[in-house]
Amino acid sequence: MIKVESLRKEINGREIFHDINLEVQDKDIVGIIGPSGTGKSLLLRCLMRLEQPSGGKIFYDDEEITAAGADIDKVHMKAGMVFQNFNLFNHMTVIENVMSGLVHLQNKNPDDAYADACRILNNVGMLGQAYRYPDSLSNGQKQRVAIARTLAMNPEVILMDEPTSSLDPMMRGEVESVIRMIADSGKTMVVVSHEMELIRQLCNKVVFLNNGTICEIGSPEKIFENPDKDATRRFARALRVLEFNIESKSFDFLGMQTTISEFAYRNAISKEIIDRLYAIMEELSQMVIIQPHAENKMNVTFEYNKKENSLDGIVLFSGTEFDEDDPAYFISWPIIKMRASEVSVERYKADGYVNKMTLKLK
Amino acid sequence: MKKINVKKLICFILIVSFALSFTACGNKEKQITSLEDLKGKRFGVQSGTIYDKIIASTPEFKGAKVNYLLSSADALAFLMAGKSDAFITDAPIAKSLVAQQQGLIILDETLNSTEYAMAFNKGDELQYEVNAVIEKFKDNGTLDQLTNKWITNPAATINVVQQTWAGTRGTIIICISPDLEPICYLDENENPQGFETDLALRIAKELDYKVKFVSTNFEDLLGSVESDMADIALGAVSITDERKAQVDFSKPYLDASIVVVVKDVNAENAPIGDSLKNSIKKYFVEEDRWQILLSGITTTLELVIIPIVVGLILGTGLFLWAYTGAHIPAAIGKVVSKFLSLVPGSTWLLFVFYVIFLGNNMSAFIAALVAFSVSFSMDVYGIISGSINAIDPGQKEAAYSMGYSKFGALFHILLPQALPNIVATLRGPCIGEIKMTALVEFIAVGDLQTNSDIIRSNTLEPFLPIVFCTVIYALIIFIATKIIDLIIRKINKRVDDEALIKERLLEGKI
Repeated sequence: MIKVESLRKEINGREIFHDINLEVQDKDIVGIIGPSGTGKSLLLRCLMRLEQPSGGKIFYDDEEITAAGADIDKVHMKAGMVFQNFNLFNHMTVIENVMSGLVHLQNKNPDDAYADACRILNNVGMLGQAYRYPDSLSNGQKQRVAIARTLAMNPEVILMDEPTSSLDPMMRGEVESVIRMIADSGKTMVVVSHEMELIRQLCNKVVFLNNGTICEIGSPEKIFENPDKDATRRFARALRVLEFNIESKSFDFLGMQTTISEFAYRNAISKEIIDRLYAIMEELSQMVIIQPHAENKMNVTFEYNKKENSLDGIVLFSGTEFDEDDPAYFISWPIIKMRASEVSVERYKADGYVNKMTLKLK
Repeated sequence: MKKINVKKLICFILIVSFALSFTACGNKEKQITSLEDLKGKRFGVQSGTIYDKIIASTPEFKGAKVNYLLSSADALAFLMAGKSDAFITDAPIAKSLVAQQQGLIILDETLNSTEYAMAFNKGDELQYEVNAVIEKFKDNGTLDQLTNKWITNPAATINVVQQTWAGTRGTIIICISPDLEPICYLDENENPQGFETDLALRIAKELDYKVKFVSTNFEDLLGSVESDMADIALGAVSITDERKAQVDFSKPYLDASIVVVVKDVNAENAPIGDSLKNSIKKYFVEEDRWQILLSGITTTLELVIIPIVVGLILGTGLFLWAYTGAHIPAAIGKVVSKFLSLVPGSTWLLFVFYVIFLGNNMSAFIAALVAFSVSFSMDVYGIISGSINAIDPGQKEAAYSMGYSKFGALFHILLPQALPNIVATLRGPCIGEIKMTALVEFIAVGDLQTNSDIIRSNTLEPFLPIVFCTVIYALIIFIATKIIDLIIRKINKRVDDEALIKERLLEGKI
């Protein structure tokens, strides 16, 4: 359906991606993953011809759309796009947003367009809000309307650029349900996302983009459990492992909260365990970094063990040799002991560290 | 704090300033009787005249301070209001002023003596023929007759001679500075009158030419023959060496000794009530002057409405053309906008009239329309471009992904969102346009400001005209603001009624 040959894109002399070769067959659901900044969104926008590639070719049904004088309208008829920022038309109500393409572009008569729009809005659960304006909707509702708007145009392939990234975790569920529903109906889709669970459940093909080129393509099981390349392995591991390196008192402790909550969401860890992890991290930070006069450092790694449903963690830290009865730890240590299921500390004199704490949260 | 009603406050301020304008300054000044008394005093002079040089070169006036004003009516108003101690002018005008305005004295001691003459472009052959006629008129008494008619023994109503002759040699253009009654001025119907005007017409009759008169400011008078916009220039211009370097003068025909006019400290001040009634009579009623004002208001409205409409069309057109991606319209918009932003409105107006339409005998009114239309269309172009570009680019991208063309997205998606912003931002330039129209007085177009000033210089009525102008302009701007606000409200009205929305949708109005 879509064929990409040696695609290349550079901006202001800087090469963003190169050597992109990809095939999307009918009914494929392709997920594109990779670290931030590798050009995943840019690639999608090239497919939609919102950006002009710097080199290479793109084919839709064997017709080259990157050729000079190619009919870009064909692209827009065959493909539809869902954006990270929804991009609903702010001056139109929900129903008008969905009807606009039908009336303005497909010249449908208003009654038919209205009926179609109502049906699709009902499918995404937004028919009750038909006469509301976008500024009065929540982000999850906006994205569902945006998806409805794209579906109304009846495209052959739907491209989604980080469809749930602007939503907070509570709203992601409603949008993910809609996306799954579309996939089940047999539509071809290309999805760029950070949501690994969604990609894993939805896609039949996963493309790992790294350092500006395709590192590996395979099924979700292959890419996440048993990848060929090291880089893929490291990326997949990073999804499962939470790691912090704290070396000064000016570390971004607030940002750490967000990283933990994203990690929790990605691995579907229960709230109860995560709350205990928050408490432990706070006490550790106080105990090792913030309270002491000296500039200590700390390396924290937690890995989610699916089989035992536990968080296994190792904390390496410098400073004085750890002693349970030391009055400096008189508040923090009991709390850590209480929150963890298992905890022990031993000496670890290497790489500038002094102590090693092993924890298990079940 | 008690809320202040702004409208009432403004009315109060206007009335108080109006009333105050009729009371003369209360302090008891010493009566000025000789040139010596004027040492270090304040003088008001008409700009473009030679009086400031005379003041500088007269030893009795050591240390004098000089204020430059646009007309002798302004200089008189300055004197009456106590903002200057004396003003200097030609003897015939001084006599005329003193006859009309109470409380003025002409000092016996006079200053420099010179004579009035007409100006020609250097080397113009016409001056020789004219001089021959002037000599003839000196000999056969016509000149004396005219002096008597206009200056020494004027009747209640006097008119220049009517152009009833054939004029087979064609038409000559005479540029006048019609500011000095009775030498050269405009009557209530804006017809040129005065001693010099009459003389010029009679000379034209002798030479078998028809005459077309064009008015301008005193400062631009000599420039009109220099740039060949007129054949002759006149308007109580006295011969000086400096002017002789610019133009050629005809033989002189009227003595123009220079005198000093000062206030008569002992004159009685008329009570305010009487003064006000008199003022209203002079400004509005006498000689149907209210008709001139009405014509002025009409012209002002034309100068407001036409450029706004033309500007909207041109500005929008330029924007749409630039939106196709063409380079030319974008370049035009950039260059013209930049130029206009560097130049004050009055300078631009003069530029259009004198420089762009150089030599073209076009109406000042058309020049004003052109100048204002261009400046407003640049405002429109800039505001539409800016508002469209300010819209989140995601809107455009979503539209293009769905299949909207560039212009389809513009009309269905971008413009509806930008329109409230565009109209609200255009409010400012619209008001600016209205205020700018008053500048046409520089090129002698008869709008409200100009006509009011004409009456002001004819009647020497100092303040009522100004207050009246203020009130009318404020009214026009107030109405314009209300209209624009109404439009903004209508655009922003969001239909909330579901049934109404559904109805519109099923009619296809998305």
